[in-house]
Amino acid sequence: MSQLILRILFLFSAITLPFLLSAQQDSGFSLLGDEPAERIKVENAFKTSRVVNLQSLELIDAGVMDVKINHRFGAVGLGPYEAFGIDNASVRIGAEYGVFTNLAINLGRSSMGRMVDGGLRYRLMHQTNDNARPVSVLLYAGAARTAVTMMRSEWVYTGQLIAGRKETDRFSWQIAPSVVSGQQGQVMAVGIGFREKITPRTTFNAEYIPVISRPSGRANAGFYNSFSVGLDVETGGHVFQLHFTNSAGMAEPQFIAQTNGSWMDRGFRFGFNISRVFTVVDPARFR
Amino acid sequence: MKNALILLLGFTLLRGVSAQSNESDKTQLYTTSSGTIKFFSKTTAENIDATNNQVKAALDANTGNMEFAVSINSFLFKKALMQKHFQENYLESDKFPKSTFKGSITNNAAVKYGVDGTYPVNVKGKLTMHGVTKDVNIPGKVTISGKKAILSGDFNVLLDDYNIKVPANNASQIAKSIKVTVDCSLQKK
Repeated sequence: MSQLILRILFLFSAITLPFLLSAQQDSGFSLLGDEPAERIKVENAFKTSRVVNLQSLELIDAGVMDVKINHRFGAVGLGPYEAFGIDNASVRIGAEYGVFTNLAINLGRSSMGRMVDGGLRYRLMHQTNDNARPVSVLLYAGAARTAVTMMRSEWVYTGQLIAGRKETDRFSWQIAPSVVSGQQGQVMAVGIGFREKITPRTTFNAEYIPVISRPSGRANAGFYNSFSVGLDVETGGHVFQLHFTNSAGMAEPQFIAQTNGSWMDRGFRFGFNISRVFTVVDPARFR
Repeated sequence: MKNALILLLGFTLLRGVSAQSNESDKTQLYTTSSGTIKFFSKTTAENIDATNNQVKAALDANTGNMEFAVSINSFLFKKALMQKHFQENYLESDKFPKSTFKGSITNNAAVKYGVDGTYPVNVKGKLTMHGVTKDVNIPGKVTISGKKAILSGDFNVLLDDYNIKVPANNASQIAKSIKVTVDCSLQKK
């Protein structure tokens, strides 16, 4: 008996199913058909081209100039007499420019070490939404001239590979093996950084740049690993980056190889970066 | 019993197949994957416009049904930063990569697809954008020229309707109502 009922039910469903399906097709017609998912390049992994000090995955668009004014106060540990570092200042003023879609140049001048630094950033790989390219990869090559004394200055070079991924619309991470090479020898470090969006226009950023190899000798003693935490606040054409960091310098040779503040000793300081972008060339020219 | 079952199954399958083949006989498709949609935001502080030349569209001449699909990241701006903010802050293209429209021409009988000319039409359907679907009514034109059907028209979109929020800081630069212009040339299949 129950078998018969099952059979009847089966027959009933076999008869009605095609009608049900076709009825569904009628109400929700599909003229475009099942188009393959589009491959889109993943943009906006970070709000600007720096996590805090570290170069980020973000490459400035072609034809756009980004003027950056970066400021670090003195160490908080200087105490109330120096207003917890507010009386001191280390400044870098610089600019980046997108020459082509995947190439940008940058130039900056730092008060610390009277340093002029410049470099090339090239994007080797751009992450895509379908994970055909799961990560973005950039190469940075920089050269800096720094005044050692009034009479003598020297060149320092930086090589960096920046690889990382925007995991979700809120979370991005990156890893940046780096080499800083100058007359004191070669310093190797691996920078890591991430950002987490708090609101659409605010992100929390952190970076840590542990040195993995440093030449011995007095000239290379007394330095710490750079560690910074901060907020990015985007307001229209500006991005404000507010942070605490133990690095006083803002050029690669300074914060990667020569961070002389210690978080343990209240050697960290408050600082900010202001980034303002200008469209110099109509982006249509690069399409 | 078994025979009857097989017979019935065969019958239903046939019905399904024949219904489908009827369906395809009835459609007369016009399609494109390079249509144009522009939008324009006008305020006293700033005019913002963007163009998308990769609009996918299809029109069934027999029923007047039409469908549009637009990739949000294909809207190109004059300023790279605006494009960035459009994707990241306003349309949230990571979450909602596409905008679609599904609807039909309410006066499809008035369009003579075999005869060259311009026919005013009214299109009714559902516009999906930023994850929100709304019923819209768009007056437009169908221009027939040989094997081409050119769909054109414009309408206004209220940002509030689609849950697109503009912070107070930028309220003076971005209009509350955005003018959208459609211009798609479809080819008969």
